[in-house]
Amino acid sequence: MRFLLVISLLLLAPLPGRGQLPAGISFTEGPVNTVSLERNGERMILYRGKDPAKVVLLTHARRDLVEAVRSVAAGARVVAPEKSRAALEQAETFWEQFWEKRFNYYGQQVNKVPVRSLAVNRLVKEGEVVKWQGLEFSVMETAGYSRDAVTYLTEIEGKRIAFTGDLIWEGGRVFDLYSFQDAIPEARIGGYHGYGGRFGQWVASLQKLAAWKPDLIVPARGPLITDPAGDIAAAVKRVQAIYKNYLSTNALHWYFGKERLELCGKRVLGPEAGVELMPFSEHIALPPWCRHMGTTKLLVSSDGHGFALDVGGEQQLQMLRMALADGLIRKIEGIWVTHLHNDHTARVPAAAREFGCPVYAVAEVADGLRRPGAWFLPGLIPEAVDEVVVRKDGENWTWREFTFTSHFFPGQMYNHGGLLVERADHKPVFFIGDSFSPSGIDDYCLMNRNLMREDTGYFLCLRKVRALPRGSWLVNQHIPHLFRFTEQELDYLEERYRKRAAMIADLVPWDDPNYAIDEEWAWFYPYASEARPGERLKVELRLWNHSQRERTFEIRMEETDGLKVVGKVPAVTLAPRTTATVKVPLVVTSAADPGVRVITASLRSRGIAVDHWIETLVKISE
Amino acid sequence: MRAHWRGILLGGLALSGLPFAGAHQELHHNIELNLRQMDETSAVQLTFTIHAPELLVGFSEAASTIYDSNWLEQRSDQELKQLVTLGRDDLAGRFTLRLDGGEPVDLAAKLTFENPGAIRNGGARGLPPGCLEAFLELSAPEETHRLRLDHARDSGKRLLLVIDRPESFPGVIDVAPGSHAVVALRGKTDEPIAPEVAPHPDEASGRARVLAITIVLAILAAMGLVLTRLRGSPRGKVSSS
Repeated sequence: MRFLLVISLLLLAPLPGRGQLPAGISFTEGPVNTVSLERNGERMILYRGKDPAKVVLLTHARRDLVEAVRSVAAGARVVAPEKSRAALEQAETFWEQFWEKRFNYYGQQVNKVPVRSLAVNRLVKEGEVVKWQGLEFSVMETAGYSRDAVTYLTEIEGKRIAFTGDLIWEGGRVFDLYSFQDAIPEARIGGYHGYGGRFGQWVASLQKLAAWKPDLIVPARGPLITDPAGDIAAAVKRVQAIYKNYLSTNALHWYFGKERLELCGKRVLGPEAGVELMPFSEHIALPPWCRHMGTTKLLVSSDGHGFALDVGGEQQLQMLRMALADGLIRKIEGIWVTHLHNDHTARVPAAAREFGCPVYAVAEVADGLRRPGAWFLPGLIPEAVDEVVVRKDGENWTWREFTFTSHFFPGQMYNHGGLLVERADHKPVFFIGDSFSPSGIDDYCLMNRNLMREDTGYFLCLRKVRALPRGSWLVNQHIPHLFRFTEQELDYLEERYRKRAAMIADLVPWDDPNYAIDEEWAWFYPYASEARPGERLKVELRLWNHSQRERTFEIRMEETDGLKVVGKVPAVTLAPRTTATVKVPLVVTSAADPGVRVITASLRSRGIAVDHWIETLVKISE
Repeated sequence: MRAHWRGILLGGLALSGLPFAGAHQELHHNIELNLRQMDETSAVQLTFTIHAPELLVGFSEAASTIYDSNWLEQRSDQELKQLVTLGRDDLAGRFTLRLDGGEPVDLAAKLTFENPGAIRNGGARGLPPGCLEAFLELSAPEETHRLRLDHARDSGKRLLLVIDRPESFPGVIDVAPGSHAVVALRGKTDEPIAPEVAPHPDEASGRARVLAITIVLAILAAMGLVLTRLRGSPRGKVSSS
């Protein structure tokens, strides 16, 4: 008997939250926490549940949360935010449309949308009350981490309890940063340029919640929050420091000016807060051998030949045609592609065919040009470039009187290159795509994969800029100037950036902040495929171990109608900061109906448990 | 070959039937100054590209449409008329044009726009998503030499002024808010009357630093000179009185 008592105590003791939650509420931590309230023989579920329940409360429509309640929702009354309506009721339509929309995409919203719709009985908004078994759950809209989120507030046995979904993680943290990307209406900035676009709403939501004075916060992930006031204050302080730091090195200062960045700052930092901005670096006119054509640059040799850097759009292609027609150049002899955004690539395929010239890029760019449908990144074009000559990092070659050195340059986006151009009569010019402006760093869109690692991302770019021959100039494809940073300016950028990486590490629960920055630390290649019933697909899962220790990842495919996994997907072990691919053998079932199918994978590693985390699309044809 | 870049450009776009996939219209204002026909027509033609979602008073709507290439296509005649009115006021408040130091051009009165059908069709003609155009033609007789463009301080983003001259690559002037550009209307780009751009206040700070350093160096040099002279003079010598 005594033995049983000890065992029981041992089993109960480690359960998080026990002793803090009122009787009748159970809480179990998991990839998504399981929370159930039992009262008068009825059960209510939040976040995850397996046992039958009368009511399910959804705080927002993130895919893993929706899947976590799907089985119990079938027999329950489902309550969800009004703002989640489209994601919950039109999931299939979203994915059907996404087959096309994924190209030229600048929506910049997290793709963790439900694969299938979920029937909802009641849609709620700010101030409404959900009544259940003598309890009242007030709805507080708490946008920020997601656009659609609500928090349910209730009082049980004198304890004020907030069910906050993903609003906040224990310890004044939040699950990731990329989910905050959005437009900043006050500053008239669109979603693509809106790093932390919902930080302002997040701060406001946290402060609104703090004003309600909860005793306990029950989140969708991570431990119970037993010090709501302390954790909320810490989260606000951290995000304000991060945003202030972000603005201080921001490339957009060059384009939008101080006033608009101050508006961005005020919404997060408060109305009285000032922002610190780096003054513009030295900049001068382009040399006559470099022509600015929108987002395209044309190098012109002394004997009248042309070499294009990007061919951004039809307008730029027409400008190149006109330069040929006007006799300003004799021939276009090559195209270097800086990166994968459509304002740099849209007419590269047509230009290469028309001018009969090779297209050059570093390997990280080349595959996205050859197989754009295999990737999901902002601004990819649907049309493939037939042939790309891959230039290695550091490779030299000559064109006319110019010497070129190609560089992998993961600045504005990870799939990005730089071209160092040297000629005898001019200081070297490094064409850095869209990676810097005279006011700093182009890291406003986290979907571009701005990794904050010493071995890559902007730290690598800054090292490469420092290693340039003395006096070298930089060129951004959007800017008709040469510019360069002093050593002090480079120190400032690097020091600020390193500080921000440390601040982000404090804000997020991962063992490395890059999991919270990089939505694509795990992804399927190809992102989308087409197949017929009965056909096998070659799909692989690409994993990045951002951690500074070895990790083993276990993968579970979440099967869907029309697609089947053949055999088992093996676990994979990665050394620190390395990548790996795992083959995922998929087959389209012989009875599959035509249409777009989405299959997801769940991942496990020590301290990482994420469900329905990544997806690959398969378009099944007749 | 003396071609009209813009005419051929849009002709080509119409033929291509391809949507223009450019993004980042948010980054700059864009004006094209066509001087290709100056000798024949003695007229300056300007084309203003307006990113229409940014004209909306409630930017929340703009935010959801800012990259939507079909947005203008789906606007009613009435909505397009409102956008044209907003666009006209926006340009008139943002830019001031003068020929040879004359009176400012009344942009609000002189700008012309396409009809709703043509605006909706802009994407098919290769205009960037959500963009419409405004046109201005200014008479510039032979004695007219320069066009000055002032860019309002509160304009919110830089202007890229593209200048098309005969038998030349398009020239580009980056005009920051609060500064201006002066463009020579006649002659080639390699002639000495090059466009001038006044420095933006932010940019001026760099120049001010250089100026300050120059002044300090000049003072130090002067002090050095004085000290050298003083050292060179006999010790203890007092001025005669």
